[in-house]
Amino acid sequence: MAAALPVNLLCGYLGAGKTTLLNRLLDRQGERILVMVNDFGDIAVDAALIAGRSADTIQLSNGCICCSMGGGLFDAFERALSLRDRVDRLVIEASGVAEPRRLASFALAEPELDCRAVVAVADPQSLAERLTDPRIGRVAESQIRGADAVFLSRADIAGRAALRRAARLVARLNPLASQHLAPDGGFTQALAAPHDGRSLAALAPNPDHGRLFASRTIGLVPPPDRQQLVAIIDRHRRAVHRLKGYVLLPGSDGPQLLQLAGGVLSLDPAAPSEGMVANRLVAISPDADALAQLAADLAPAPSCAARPG
Amino acid sequence: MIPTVFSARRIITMDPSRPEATHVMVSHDGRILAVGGPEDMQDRGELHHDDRFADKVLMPGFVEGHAHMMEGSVWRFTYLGHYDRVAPDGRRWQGITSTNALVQRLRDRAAELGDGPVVGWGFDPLFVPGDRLSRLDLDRVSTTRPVVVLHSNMHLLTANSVALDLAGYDENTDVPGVIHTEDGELHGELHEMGAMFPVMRRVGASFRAMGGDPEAIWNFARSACRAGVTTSTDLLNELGDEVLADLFATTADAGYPLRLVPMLSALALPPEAVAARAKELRAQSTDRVRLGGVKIVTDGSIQGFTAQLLAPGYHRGTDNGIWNIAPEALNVLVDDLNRQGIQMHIHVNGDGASLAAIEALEAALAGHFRPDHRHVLQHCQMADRAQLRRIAALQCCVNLFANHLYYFGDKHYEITIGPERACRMNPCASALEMGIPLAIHSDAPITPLAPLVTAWCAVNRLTDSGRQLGTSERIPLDAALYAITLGAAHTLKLDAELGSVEVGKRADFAVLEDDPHALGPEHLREVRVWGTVFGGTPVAAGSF
Repeated sequence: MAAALPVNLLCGYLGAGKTTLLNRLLDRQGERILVMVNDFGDIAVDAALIAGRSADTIQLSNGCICCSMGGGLFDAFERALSLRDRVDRLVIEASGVAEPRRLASFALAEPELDCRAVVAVADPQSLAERLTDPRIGRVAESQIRGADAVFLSRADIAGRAALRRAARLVARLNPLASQHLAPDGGFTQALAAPHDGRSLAALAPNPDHGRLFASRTIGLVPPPDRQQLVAIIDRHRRAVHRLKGYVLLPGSDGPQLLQLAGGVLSLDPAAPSEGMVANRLVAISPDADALAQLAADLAPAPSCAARPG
Repeated sequence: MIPTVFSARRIITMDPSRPEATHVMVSHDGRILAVGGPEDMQDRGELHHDDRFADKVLMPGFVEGHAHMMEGSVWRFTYLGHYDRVAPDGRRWQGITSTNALVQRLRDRAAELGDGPVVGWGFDPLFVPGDRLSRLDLDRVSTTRPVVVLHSNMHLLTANSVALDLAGYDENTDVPGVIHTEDGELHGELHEMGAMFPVMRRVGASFRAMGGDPEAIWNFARSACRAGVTTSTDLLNELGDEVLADLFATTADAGYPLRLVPMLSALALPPEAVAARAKELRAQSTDRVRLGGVKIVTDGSIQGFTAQLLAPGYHRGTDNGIWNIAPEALNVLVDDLNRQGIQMHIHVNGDGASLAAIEALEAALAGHFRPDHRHVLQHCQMADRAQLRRIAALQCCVNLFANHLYYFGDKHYEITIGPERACRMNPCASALEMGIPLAIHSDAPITPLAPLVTAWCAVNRLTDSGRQLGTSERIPLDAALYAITLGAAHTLKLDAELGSVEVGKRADFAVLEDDPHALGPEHLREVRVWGTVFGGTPVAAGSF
């Protein structure tokens, strides 16, 4: 049997810039991409925009098949799997009102699919307005919260202030996601990373369960040295489900990305993405007391209050 | 060709100019030539007299304004629902009331099939006492063959160990929707499509297997005939070439006794292509396949907590409201389809969704008013009187989900939307009071295809437990009979051709053993159905 087919999911509300980003990905050489378009309810004519590329396109009817009782989504995945030999990657352009976790769950569950990064595309100029819209605010929020990487589109025309505001909004909703302004090398790397099934949104798919998990932002003031930091985290690695942030430690050459997932700690050289600040870690655990203990150990100074997810 | 005169104990015509008759004359090509008493059939030349219905009651063939072809295909799996139900082949399946009964039925089915997967459908754990159905229960059915039980809401399934193993699930699987027990073992229950997909595709229970192949198209007609239905919608269909070819070929059989009204799924195509496709389809209509209407699905379901609700939202439980189309995209689509003269059937369950549809229609009709557009709000279960006034002002129709009152009414009262809104849901009386053209429906296979039961629901508004939901929203018996005949035909723009027993219309009749008026409103659902007359030809239930 062929290796599982890597899947990326692009989501984002109408007009966020999903199709533009997709086309820029398809412009690149060297990879055979299969595109599944779940965007026909939208205003943009996505199939036409994508036509003429080398990629195969599967047209997928919109919507929650369970409620519409159509077979669109099942069929589309079946067809994608039947083309496994001819393609290297499946990219799903989700409908503007799709919640990423609903689509990502297909790729997570099916052994023949390999769920890679879920990308939320957001238009910096309209993001704040979308998030407060009474009708679609919740969907827009779920898209940001469910993503591994957030692509802020139209960075060239959005003002610096709008970009900064959007970056802050995104970081507040989903502090674990990397942020990108261009489909550069860093973005390519983010795309290839596996979907983080332990992010807050994935752990707590609905608001009720969300109350079971607490997240806490912990400032490292002053930052401990590396050995000290690793020792403290090691004591907490069972109780804390997830820890992530950029650190600039005394004596080190430059910023590093610190991650704790599945009990494994890693520290790799990396620059903080837009909207993230060095020496501020985000921790998630079902146990708020464990988070308080970690915070106390890491930073004797007062840190932000714990808040429910 | 010699016309035929059918005599009956009574003919309820639904034609106000002649509400009752005893004789109807039908031409060889299935049109009504005369309606009245024996004296009205005289001096017409040579006639063939058919008195087989002399002790039966005829009504216009019932029109089901919202059902799905899946009613014809889902029965290839084993029925495990709570309510007794009759399959297209006439077999009466008892409701499942215990886990043991469920296991026994699946064992019997496994033996019947010989080998391969065993799949059940329609299961609702809320109605089965004791521990929730698990993998271990289904392992009692088989430890060598996959066994899968689809729940009635189609959002959950329970699988046995073999089926879970096929999908590669084990105690280490950490995937959303794959449920584990407290001690970390697989429970067997899988939630939502993502987690269900790997199992369903490996046991041949994909939704594709529930589509409209010829056998399903025939079965749909079998179910319809048992219920006196001669015209039914298939309210969501992507209408691809293969499906269309099957539809035309199957219904062209001279013995096929049902007019089908499939609605094109607007979300299956790029929005600007929908109107053109609908017009193209309309031109291909036959007398048994009526094309040209479009269906737009906005939100989910109330019982699934996926409907879009306005404040104060759900009574109990978590709001998982979904949009299948963004409200702004809905505005654009509705405007375009209205402008191009396409009739729309818009699925709206929650009041948030009906509001979005009303706003979209207001904008579209303000820009381009079309007399007699007959756009229909489908389900429209939670619209309050303020929304109904706007719907009336727009001259839209509603097709209300009266069956919900009985089949889900207790759940709505106690859990989903609470007493006040449950008592005003599916407001048939208010709709009629405001002059809104009204149909009522079953959404089969969600609830059974049986318009007389649907009418009973609208007339009595009783839940399964006997609670009456909103006495003031009950409608009179005749209004309910109108809703399942001419009312539904009106929402399909077929009222000039069917829906009443009138000269010139098609000779499609429901043939009843009992007189609805004689049994009375409380016993309406007990009316027995002999079968139908389709295009002038008698078709007994179970005869094909």
